[in-house]
Amino acid sequence: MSLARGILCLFLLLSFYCSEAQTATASTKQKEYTVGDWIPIDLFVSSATNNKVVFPNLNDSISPSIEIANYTSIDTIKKSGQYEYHQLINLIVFDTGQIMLPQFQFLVNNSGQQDTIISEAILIHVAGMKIDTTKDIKPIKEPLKIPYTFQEILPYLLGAIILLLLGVLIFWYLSNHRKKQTPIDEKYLLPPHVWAIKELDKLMEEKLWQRGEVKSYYSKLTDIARTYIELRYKIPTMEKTTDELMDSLHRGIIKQVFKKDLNDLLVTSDFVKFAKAQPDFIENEEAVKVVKDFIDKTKQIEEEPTTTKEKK
Amino acid sequence: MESFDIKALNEKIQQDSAFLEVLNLEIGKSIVGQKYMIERLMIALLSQGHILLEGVPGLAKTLAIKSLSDAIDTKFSRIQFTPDLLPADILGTMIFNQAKGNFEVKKGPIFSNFLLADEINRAPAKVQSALLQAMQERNVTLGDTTYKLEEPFLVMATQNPIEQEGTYNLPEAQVDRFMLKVKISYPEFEEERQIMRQNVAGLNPSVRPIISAQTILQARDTVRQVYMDEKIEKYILDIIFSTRDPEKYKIDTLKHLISYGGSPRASISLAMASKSYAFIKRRGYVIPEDVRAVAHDVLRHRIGITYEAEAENITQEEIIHTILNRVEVP
Repeated sequence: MSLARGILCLFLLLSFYCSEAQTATASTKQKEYTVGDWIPIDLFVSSATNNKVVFPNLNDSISPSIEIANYTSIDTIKKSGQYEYHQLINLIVFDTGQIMLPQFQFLVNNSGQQDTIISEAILIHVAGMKIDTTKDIKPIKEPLKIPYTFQEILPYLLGAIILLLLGVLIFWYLSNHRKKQTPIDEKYLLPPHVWAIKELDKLMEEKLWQRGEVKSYYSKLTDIARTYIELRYKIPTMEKTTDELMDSLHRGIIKQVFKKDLNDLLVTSDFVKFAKAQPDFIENEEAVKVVKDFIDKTKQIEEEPTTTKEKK
Repeated sequence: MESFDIKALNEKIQQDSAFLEVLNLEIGKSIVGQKYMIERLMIALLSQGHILLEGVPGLAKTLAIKSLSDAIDTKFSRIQFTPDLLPADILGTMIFNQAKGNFEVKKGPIFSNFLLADEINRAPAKVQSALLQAMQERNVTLGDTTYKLEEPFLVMATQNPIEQEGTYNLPEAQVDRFMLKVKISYPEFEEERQIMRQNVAGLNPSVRPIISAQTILQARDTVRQVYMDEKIEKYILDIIFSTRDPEKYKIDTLKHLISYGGSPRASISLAMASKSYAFIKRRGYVIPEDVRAVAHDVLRHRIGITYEAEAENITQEEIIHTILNRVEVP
């Protein structure tokens, strides 16, 4: 009877022990490390399923010479009615010799009851760098170049694309705008007499008076003459009447003998334009000659060769 | 050179305008100088228009129209406009005849061929309106009867540009009814010497009627026949439209200076005045010079200037000058 009671008590104790058993360990794979190495620590807690386990709050470092490089999230595995919690911490030790990695504290909430489990401290040996003193001192190594990730490049890439698009848009706008601009009139590019003679030749080719369009012929002819005077003497002519135009070609500007035939032509043109006059074909043919003659007598002579000779 | 109907028209004009020389000689007996004013009077008379003269007193405005009236053998009236003048004083009224027991028409001074409305801006608006309405319609209604005014009918109104106190400026709509607004200037030195000598010597040569009203009416018909090419028509319209929309004619500088431009009446007046000017110059067709010669007188009272223009001391004269120098001549 007493044996049975003893066995029962042992069974109860064991079952109680087993149901409430919670362990915490911190372990390393090896005990020897070089200074600066990552030292992986496996934090492990085994606890009953209905308990809540709180792992230690990890900061940047554990002590002045031990830093935390990184750590994983807590991994939970259900095993034989127990929960097993794992967390891997990579430590870096910046000291050499025998280093005691500290204990880690875990909080376990067991149905409102708060328990603290502490892992055992780990002793490791951290060796310093082996220096070959037989060799020369080498310069400090440059920082390592880490390749850029796509995430890092993306903003710059987007910026470049936007800039490129803006550039294309500006180029398109400018080239389009340039196309729309009216081209410079030939009369401003050529010497006045060259332009005028060219226009007179065109007028003759049109054969206007021969087709009965006498008014149009004289209008165009006087327009050429007026434009030539405007370009040659820088006098506004298109807004002047015949008399005003002749007055503006005073002695200081032009030899008065050159004016007579032009004046007669302009008066005749006024008759044609405003009084339905119909000059005969001789007058029509002569009209172009009068303008050509006026241009020939008054054209601006190129001064460049003369100036060069004079200088020499 | 040949020209068909124009040649015939030119000959007709030479004949019909022959009276102008005689008329000028006759008027010249009493008026020294002021050729510009007399020429404008003739333009208004031939174009069936009216004329507003602006000038200081003593420039022979009254004498000019009196002489013209005397030389043409027509009736002449003069009304001195005063603030207490009434429309009936111009138009006439119905007067009760006690002996006959009925109303009789008493015609006013407007019933004449030449009417001088002296200092028109001294009378209030109702009197001005009465005159201007009669000018436009060329008839007057008294009682139940409408009386047609006898042709030729020419109103010459005067304004004194110096005195502004106690005056009623003519509203824009009314001043537009005057075909021409002419600014009279002082005579030349030699002209004034002659005027002085004539008056000191007591010489008051009388002007005799040398032409009939019929001659003027016939001349008016001929003026209407003066040929105006479509290029000239376009030129006139360009000038008028540039007063309304200077930007369109690349005269941007005038945009802020003009508050309103010339009305269609301005286009009509400019065309008619140009024809009359061509007639006076004995031509059967209008040239751009004719248009430019009368443009100032036709337009100066038809262009409204803005406050900016007033502030910058820019006048209608300068605006018209700019327009004429910027609008292309055909």
